[in-house]
Amino acid sequence: MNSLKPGSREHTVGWLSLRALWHEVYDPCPRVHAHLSDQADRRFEDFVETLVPLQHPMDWRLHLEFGGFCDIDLADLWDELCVAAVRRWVRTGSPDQAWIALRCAWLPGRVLVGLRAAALDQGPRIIRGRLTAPTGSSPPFMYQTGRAAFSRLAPDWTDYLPFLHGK
Amino acid sequence: MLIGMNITSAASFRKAEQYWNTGLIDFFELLIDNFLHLDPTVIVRGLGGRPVALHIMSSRFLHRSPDELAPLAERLRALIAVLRPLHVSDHLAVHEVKGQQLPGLMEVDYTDGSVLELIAQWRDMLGQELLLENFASSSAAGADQVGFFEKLQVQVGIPPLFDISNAIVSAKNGGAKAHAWLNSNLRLTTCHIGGYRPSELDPSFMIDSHDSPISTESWQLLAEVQRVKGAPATLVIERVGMPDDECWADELRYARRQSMATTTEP
Repeated sequence: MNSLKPGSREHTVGWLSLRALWHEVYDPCPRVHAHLSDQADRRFEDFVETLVPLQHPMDWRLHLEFGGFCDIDLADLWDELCVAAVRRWVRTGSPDQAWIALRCAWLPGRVLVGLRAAALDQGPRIIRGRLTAPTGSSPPFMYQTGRAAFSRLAPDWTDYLPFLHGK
Repeated sequence: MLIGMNITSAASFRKAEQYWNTGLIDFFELLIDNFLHLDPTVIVRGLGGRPVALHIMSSRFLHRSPDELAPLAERLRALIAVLRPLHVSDHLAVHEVKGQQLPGLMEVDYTDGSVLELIAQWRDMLGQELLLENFASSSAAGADQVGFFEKLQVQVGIPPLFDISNAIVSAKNGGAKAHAWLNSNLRLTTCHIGGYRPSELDPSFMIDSHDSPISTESWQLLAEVQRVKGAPATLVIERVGMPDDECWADELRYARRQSMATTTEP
């Protein structure tokens, strides 16, 4: 953005793109925004400047990255971030999958399941469940998706280690 | 001219059913990305025999290899076979750069020779006539859009899904002139129309937001399409967020009156 001439069309488009991303991050996470308070905008800008060069796909896992980047350590804020991630997957994830389940190290024993609509006149749903926490060390996030209508979780999970983990 | 409504969610589906029951619309246009996970029989049951068109948002066919696109194409072919849609359309846009999802769509480079090949490849994978929506250009970089679509129609046999309001937005943003579409050899038989609004930062920059009333200029361009090209076969009124139900219904009624006007004029 700094290299774009203010007032130019490129600057306007760039600003609007960043603004869209800001809303993508914060609109579903008002408590996170309130927690970051007057640092919210600065943290967002730093986050984008850090994540983009790492070639992160900027997909549904964006909120998982953001929480780690901002050193969030409160369970209710991680719940908000994880719900935002699951909702974004429901909107934009692999179109042939019907559901996603997400586990988060900051929410031990809990699982979030995002269900896409089961019919044209039914909206998506988020289910909160309980699971036995994995023993030993576990990655910050684990998830799985399914094509058929959700009935139960599979034993296998996909680990997700954030790009910004430890940075 | 058949009047349709875009369906992106359960709420808009329920609204579409109301409009269908009151005779305001003749078909449903599904933003199929949001329903592709459903078994085709579920979609068939939900539609209950009502006519449907399919509009694809994020196939990302410009960014995916044939192997990556194959599962999506297979699923869409299965849906097309059972739904027999009025038309199938997709977006011609850049969704990502170097694997990174963009916050919003970007316009393709119309001078890139590979674009036509990728479009033809995707159409062949679907096994179905495909329409591509014209882009709401953000700058003069979109000035070649009409010429590109003419080449696309001639060389690949793909006509545009002509988004009337996108053409107005493009013209206002320095892209192709709106009347360039009328002066072209393009078939403009399948149309969209929706609202746009100025951006916060620069009021001279228009965004095809679909959350505002349809402009007078857009309606006038539709009238010009009818006069110059003949009445479109279909027109979808696009709305996102449904901020004002009565406004949407009024626009559907207006579109219905427009369609009656072309059938009664000598």
